[in-house]
Amino acid sequence: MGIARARIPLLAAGTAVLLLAGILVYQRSGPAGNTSSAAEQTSTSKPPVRPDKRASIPHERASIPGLQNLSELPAPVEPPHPPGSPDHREWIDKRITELDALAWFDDSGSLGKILTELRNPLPEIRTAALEATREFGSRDAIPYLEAISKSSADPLEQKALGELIEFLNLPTLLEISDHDAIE
Amino acid sequence: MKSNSLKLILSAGLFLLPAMSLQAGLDTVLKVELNCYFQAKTSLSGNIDAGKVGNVRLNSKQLLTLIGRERGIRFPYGSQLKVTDVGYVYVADSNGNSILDASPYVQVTFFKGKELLNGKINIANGKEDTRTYYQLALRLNLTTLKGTLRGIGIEDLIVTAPDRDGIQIARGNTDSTVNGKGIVNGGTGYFDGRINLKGRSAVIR
Repeated sequence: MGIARARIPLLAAGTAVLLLAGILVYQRSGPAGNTSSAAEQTSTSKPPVRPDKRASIPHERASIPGLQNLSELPAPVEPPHPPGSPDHREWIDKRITELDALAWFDDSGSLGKILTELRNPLPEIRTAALEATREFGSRDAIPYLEAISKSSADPLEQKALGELIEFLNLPTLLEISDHDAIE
Repeated sequence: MKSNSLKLILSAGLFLLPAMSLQAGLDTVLKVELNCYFQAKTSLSGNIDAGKVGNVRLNSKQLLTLIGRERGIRFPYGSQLKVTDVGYVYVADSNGNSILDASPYVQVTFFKGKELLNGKINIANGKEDTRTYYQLALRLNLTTLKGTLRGIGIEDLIVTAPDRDGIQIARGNTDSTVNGKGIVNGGTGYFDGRINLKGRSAVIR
């Protein structure tokens, strides 16, 4: 009993330290530490305006910073194995899988890696990069796609790039839903 | 006692391991790329009845966001939609770990049983190089988006012969041009586009 009584001040001090630490962590994390849903974040981040024109529909995601100077994108990844070898085929499959996975991210680094491969000398990689760009779904890719299309001598590639640009220029279902929700 | 239980589990695992064959199936990444058409505007002015059809794009990443909104969560970056060989859809993180059952919102149905088979299957060792044609359906059941799309799935499946360790590599790719009808933002919507299912796995025979 005496030991229990002696522990009470110790426990109180410990609780106070924990509370203080919790307050400090909360203050440091601030809004960035908020783990609320995407829907909640969207609703709180938008200004209370009622846009009238279709052109004013907010984009699905904000413009990706760091993708301003397209000429600064690195060179495509070179295949390390001689063409025709089983390792070469394996490397192509692996690279295509990597590009497919990158398409599910939302950051400029991932988009940059995908766009870089549109200049790859291997047609399989270029096709996979085109698919990944489509799946990534960012309009930030459009200037780069236009530049590639202008420099391409292949009419089929130009057609594919043109169709992709047209597709990316369409509003997304999320943009329309969010726009309607605001109205 | 603990070590005995562990031995028991390990022994059971060793017995079960040979049963993990190609029958386990191939989980594939679901890619959807759709155009959604809906009535954006109608107006009646005098004798002129006018309308405007809206066209929006929808892909798998948007589907993922919509599923997240239904559940009030935000998935980790790089999360993907995956489908099992029986059409069960789930959300996987970038490492492939299942993190959410998405089947209440998205379902894929493979109408197999009357498929058309082109190519060869070695029944003895499981080596396969085939193209299969069958009907598939994608069902969407979200608050802002509902509908059923159908199309012919064209599945290319390559399974290598077992290597010295009995490992076989399976690569599958299914493409389907789909279309259908549903509801977009509370109104009638028509959809067209394509579905792609791609997967690769190593299996022990």
